[in-house]
This record gives sequence, C-alpha cells and structure tokens, in this order.
Amino acid sequence: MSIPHSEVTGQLAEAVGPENLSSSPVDTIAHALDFWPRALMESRKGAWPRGPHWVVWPGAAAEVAHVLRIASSYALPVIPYGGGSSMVGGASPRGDRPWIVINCKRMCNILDMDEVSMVVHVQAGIVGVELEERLNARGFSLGHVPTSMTTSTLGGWLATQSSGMLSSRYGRVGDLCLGVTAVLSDGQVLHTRVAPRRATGPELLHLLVGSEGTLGVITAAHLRLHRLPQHRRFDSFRFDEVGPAIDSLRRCLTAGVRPLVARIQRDPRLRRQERAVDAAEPTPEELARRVLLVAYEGPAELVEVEHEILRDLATARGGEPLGPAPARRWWGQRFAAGFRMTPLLVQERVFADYLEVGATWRDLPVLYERLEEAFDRRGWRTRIAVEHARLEGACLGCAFWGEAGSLEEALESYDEAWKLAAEVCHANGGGLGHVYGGGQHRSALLDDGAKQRLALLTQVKRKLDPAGIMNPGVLGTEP
Amino acid sequence: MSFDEYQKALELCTYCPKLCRHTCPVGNAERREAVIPQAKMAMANLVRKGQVELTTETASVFYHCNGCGLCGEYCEHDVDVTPALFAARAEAVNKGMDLPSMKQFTDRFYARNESLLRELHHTIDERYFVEEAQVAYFPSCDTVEHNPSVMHDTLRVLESVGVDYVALHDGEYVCAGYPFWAAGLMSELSFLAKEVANKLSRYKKVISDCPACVWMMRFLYPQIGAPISAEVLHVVEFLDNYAQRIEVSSTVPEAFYHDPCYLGRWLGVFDAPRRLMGRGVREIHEFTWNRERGYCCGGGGLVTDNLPDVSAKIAQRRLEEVLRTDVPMVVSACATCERNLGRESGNVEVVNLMTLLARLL
Repeated sequence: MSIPHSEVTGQLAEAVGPENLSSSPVDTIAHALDFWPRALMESRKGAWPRGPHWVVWPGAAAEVAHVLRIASSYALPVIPYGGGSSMVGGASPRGDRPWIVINCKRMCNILDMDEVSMVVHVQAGIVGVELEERLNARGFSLGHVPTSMTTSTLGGWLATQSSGMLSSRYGRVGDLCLGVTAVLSDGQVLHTRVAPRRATGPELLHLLVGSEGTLGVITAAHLRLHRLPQHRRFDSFRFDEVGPAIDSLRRCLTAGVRPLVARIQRDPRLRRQERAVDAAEPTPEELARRVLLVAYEGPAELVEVEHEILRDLATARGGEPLGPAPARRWWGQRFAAGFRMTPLLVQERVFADYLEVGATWRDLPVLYERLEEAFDRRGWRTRIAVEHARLEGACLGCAFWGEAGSLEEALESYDEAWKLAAEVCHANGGGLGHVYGGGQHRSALLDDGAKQRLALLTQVKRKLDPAGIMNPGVLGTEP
Repeated sequence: MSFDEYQKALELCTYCPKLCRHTCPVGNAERREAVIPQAKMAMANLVRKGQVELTTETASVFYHCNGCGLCGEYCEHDVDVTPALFAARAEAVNKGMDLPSMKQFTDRFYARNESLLRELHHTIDERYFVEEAQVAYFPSCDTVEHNPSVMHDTLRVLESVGVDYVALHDGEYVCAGYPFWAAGLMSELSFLAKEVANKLSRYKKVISDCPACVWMMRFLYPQIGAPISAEVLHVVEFLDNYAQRIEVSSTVPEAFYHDPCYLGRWLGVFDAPRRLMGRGVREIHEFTWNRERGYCCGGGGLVTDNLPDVSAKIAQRRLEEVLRTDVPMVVSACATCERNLGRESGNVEVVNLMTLLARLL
C-alpha cells in the first residue's frame, strides 16, 4: 500500500497540533536507535539508521487515541517511546516501513496523590528520577530504582515490566502498579480499575504491563507508594566461593527478611588488584571469592532484626563480615553501572552486552557455574552478579564482552555468545530476559515453553491490534 | 580546540544510554529527544563522521545548550559537553550553517559594547577610573546594561571593609567574550581575548562580578593564547578575605542562595558566597539541586537570545522550589542569573549578593 505522506502529516498535525509533530531529520535521527548493543555495533558500519518518518508528542490519552486511529487506517507501525534506553531494540524502528514514534514525554504530570491510601496517579511520560524527587519532597518513595532511572520513564518501566535494584524489597514495577490507562490500536481508552483486590476474572492490567507497546500505549498509572525510610543500614560478607553466598541469601529470603538490596558479586579487591601496576595475577582462590552486599531500610528495630538474621546465616556459612563499607560504596555508585558498557561499544572490534537470567534457587548455583564456564571456554570475559533476589529465586546479571578481528566478526561473536547463553540457560533451568524485556532480541532466544506463550499472545494481539501496527517485531508475537 | 579534538567525548556520548538526560535544563524544558545532551553530542559526532549532513537544520541542535555543564557533573566518563557543543557551533559557523539569528552577531556585539561603555562612564563617577590602580574591577556586561547599581553596591561594600583602592577598569571592552565563545565565533574571541588580556595584564588583580568572565580569563584565555598575568577573581572570592569585617546594621530573616553555574560548578566557588551571605541573612535555604549540582537559571549559552521561551521555562523550573515556600528572596552573585530568574520570580525578590550586603550596611 503506498502511503500518502502529506495526507498523514496533515492528519497527525490535526491530532496533536503542528508544533507537536516532526519529520525533521533532527528529531527522526534522535529516535533512530535505542541502547540495544547489537544495533549500536551495526551503526558503526557507515549509514546511521534513518529513524521513524514521524515523531509526535501527544499531550493526553485522547490525542494518543487520535494518532492510533490514523495509524490504523493507514497500517502505519507505531512505537510508544519513553526514554529510548531499551537494551533489546524495543524502542527503535525497523524495516523499511514509515514509522510513527509516539514520544510520551509531554504527558509528565502527577495527576493526583492520595496520601491516605499512599497511591499516586501519574502520567506515563514522566522521567523516573523526576517522579522520585517529587515524591521524596512529600515524604514518599516509589521504591523502584532501575539503573536507567535518570533517563527512563514510568511508561517505559511499565511497558517492559522493569525490575529495579530495590526489587528484593519492593518487587518489580508491576508489583507496584494498581491500574493503568492505556490506549488500544482502535483508539479505545482503557482504564483498569484501581481497587485493593478483585476476584472477577483475569486482570487486564497484567496483560498490558510488560506488553512492550504491542497491545496498547500506556498513558498513566496508579502506583503504590512507600514512606521514606526512617533508617537504612548496610552490611557486607566475603565468601570463598559463590555457593555458600547464594545459600545464605536464599535462607535469608525464605526466613522472611526483605533486604532493600541483596547482591552477590566479585570481590571488589580484585578490581583494585587488576588495576595496580606490577600486581601479581589473581590466584584461582582469589578469583573464586564473592562478596554479598546487603542493605536494609525501615523502622530501626526491624532493620536491626533483619541485619542479625542475615549476619547469623552468612557467618554460619563461612561468610567473613566486612562491615558496611563495601555495600555502602556500591550504593554510592549504584548508577555507575549504566555507564560501563559505553567505553566497550565505542571500540570497532569489540562486542558487549548484558544478559539477565532468572532461575529458581535450586538451579541458580549450577547455572552460575555453567554460564561462567561456557564463556570462559570461548575466551570471552564475564562479570556475573546475583541480583533481584526474590522468595523463589534470583537473577544472574552477566555483563559479557570480547574482541574480534573485525566489526563483522564482532557481530558474529555477539550472536554466538547469545546462542551459547540461550543453550546454557535452556539446559540448566534459566529463563532469559529477566529484566530488560523481549524487544527485538530476546524473543528469538526463548525456549519452547515461552514460544507456546507467545503463540497465544499473538492471538490476543490480533484481536486487539488487527492492523498489526503496535510495535510489530518485538516480543516475538507475530503481526 | 577544534571540533575533531572532541572525538573521544563525542563518541562516548553517541554510545551512551542517555544517563544525564535529567540534568539538562534545555532538555527538561523542551522534553524533546533531539536536545538532550546525548542526542546533541551524537548529532555533532554524526556530522563530524559524515554520517549526517551538516545543514542549518542539523546544526540547530547545537544551540539548544545553555552551557551550564551540569550533564558533565553526572557523567562517569567526565565528558565536558559545553566546549564540545560550542566547538560544533564553530564548525557550523565555518561551514556557513549557523543559525540565521547569529548573522551580524559580531556587529551587534561591538555596537552593544560601545553602548555599554558609554553607560559605564555615565553611571560611575570618573574618580573610580584610576589609571595606576593595582586592583581593577571589571563589571559584567549584564550588570552594566541591566543592573548598574550593583557596581555602586560592590564599591560601597568594598569600601566598608577598608578596600578603597579598587578602580574601575577603563578599557575598550565591557566583556571578556563569552558570547563569542558561545556563538562559535572563535577568531573573534581570539582577537578580543588578546586585546582584553593585554589591557588587564597591567594590574596585579582583576575582580569581576561575572563568573563566566572570570572563568574565561582564568582558564580559556591561556588555552587560546591570551594569558593574563594579573590574578583574576570573582568579587565574592576577593571579598571573602574581608568577610569578618562586614558590619551590617540589620539582617533579613531568610533567603535562598542560587549557585551561578560558572561561579559554582566551573570555578568551584561554593562556600565564599554563603559565608558572605551569612553576614546578613539569618537562615540560608538551599535548593535541592545546589552546589556542584546547581541547576541553571537558563541565562547561558545564548539561549536567552535564541530560545527565549525555553530560557523562561528553565528559570521557572529553578524557582518552583522557592515558590512552594514563603521565603521572599533569592540571592545570587551573577547579573545574568539575577536577570533571568528575576523575570520569572513574581513576588520573590532576586537580588545580587553585593546589593543585599550594601542594603544592610
């Protein structure tokens, strides 16, 4: 179907106002890529992707509805856009069709704050840190702190079912979400009802949260709040190997402790050792060591009890108490991780990415070991941390990188690395895509069980989006 | 530095997941992806590498920067965005792709300079222009144009602590050239800087009420071959040595202190203005974004000229926190900040630190 561009431009201008519509290269280039490392590596080849044909900035759900009706009538693909920091290609146009990007950032207001029920009603285009600062000024916190918090938006978090670094205590963003306003492809505006609990059939909310813009555009949400903590405490333990550290953390969670932060990572002393001039190579024993970093927050008495429970569990399993300093240091640099991949991605022959694998406690230690071994055998570097610990399991966050002979070889190695990771995960009970969503990338790596789920989701999508315009090509649902 | 010398910074920004978005006053005001620091730097990089054509349209994003440097404060890679984007503006000028509003900028600059020189001599008594003085006061162009009483207030406060030897600089220029730097007019800047440096080098000390002038003379002039042998200080740095001598006859109960970007983040002067303010203000309120993280008033980077609505929104955002309180006053130490915030402050008074102290003597 040939697209009458000027006709569409006129209609979009009517929908959002001409000042909130652009086809300027300045704006389309800025929406061409998100932070999917593979696409960024590809961009080094020469031509920069041209981006969408139109960018619109609607100011309300009604304007989003108008845009979607136009898009449906011309079968134009649409991307709802928040911060554009997706690591899986969820927010970048693909293929040759003319895309419309719906940039949600004009919808950035707190609509209502119910301090009695501790519920806030917010528009989806607000940047995370701005929301948190506004809540903090009134004595509240959302309790959702992803590494991308300074750039990502509430809408992006909800669309990707984001997990923040405080998820052990506060859960994923979906656990904080009580209801959303979303616009479907036919322009229908859906408000899921906000109530403490219902038993009247499956919740549509759970269909929309994590749908990555494939079913609708989330324009606002009701979210649960927490009071700013009275007290925060840090603690750290060193273990000779990862197994007892994982076991301590598991027992802590299953004993009912909900730490604010709980992560197991490489001994930070190794990093200092590697940077030192003339330092000896780390021994296998030093390389095997791991530290457990924890933080607790809440009423002082409760924090003290939680601290004591984990301290006893950790020391009984050989954990050497290190005091608060290592955990506090990590907390002070908690956003720095977001910067670490960039120096790798600017190098022509280097490939890098971050894979996140969820697993239950029973499978986690073996999966950790197999993943590390598999990458080691190929000579690829990894940094694996246990994070996002929950009652039933946790996530292995694994940064990996390597160097190849050329950009083409780097891209091949990148794909091989992901294939390898998928094989290891499928064989050892791991589920890829624990944190960053499916996007264009992770969906192709899912196991058979996930494929069945996607087939069913495809049927749902066809009903809700008959023209196939809603972010087609992500999540693995077919148009 | 030429555009290509920023290659490393431009590359890092191009491949960064936009983590400094929240710090950019222009990006926050416009809520447009193309004008967040990462996107502006990426555009400059794509132009540099020939992946995107340099046109007046693509170059226009380089001018959506107020030069505050807050993004660099947050950057783990220590990328300094302001000079890189100003170098991109210079590239646009060299290729004839700068903003149409920048045409005849040099003519306008010198015409304004002439007018301000007349104003300076009209405002300040000739006895303050002393040829053989050791310490010269170099007032800012915005002070002379928009708030000349600050010059009288500064001299009065200095005299009150026994410093009666400061003379007004009687030169040909009332500006150290920040507008040229921000406009990407590097050859014009180089000419002016050499002229100014030559004239000011005869003093032992030069004090200015313009944080950007001080930063330029102290740090940028040497880089472009125009070092000044005189010690260059902001007025508050100089007066801080005499803070204990300031005797006020009355005080005000409370006021916010706004860190000017160039005095705070760029020159690292945070405590001196607070100490001086403390001589006359019983309770100093801090903005949530203060000191190294001080949020811009919206007056820099020629944004007031090219994007007046954006500049106003930035000032409004800065003042939101004040307007939620009953605090009636914001104090600063930069004429540009006072002018830009003052336009949006409603019933809240925005006042220069020297004016406040002079008022309380």
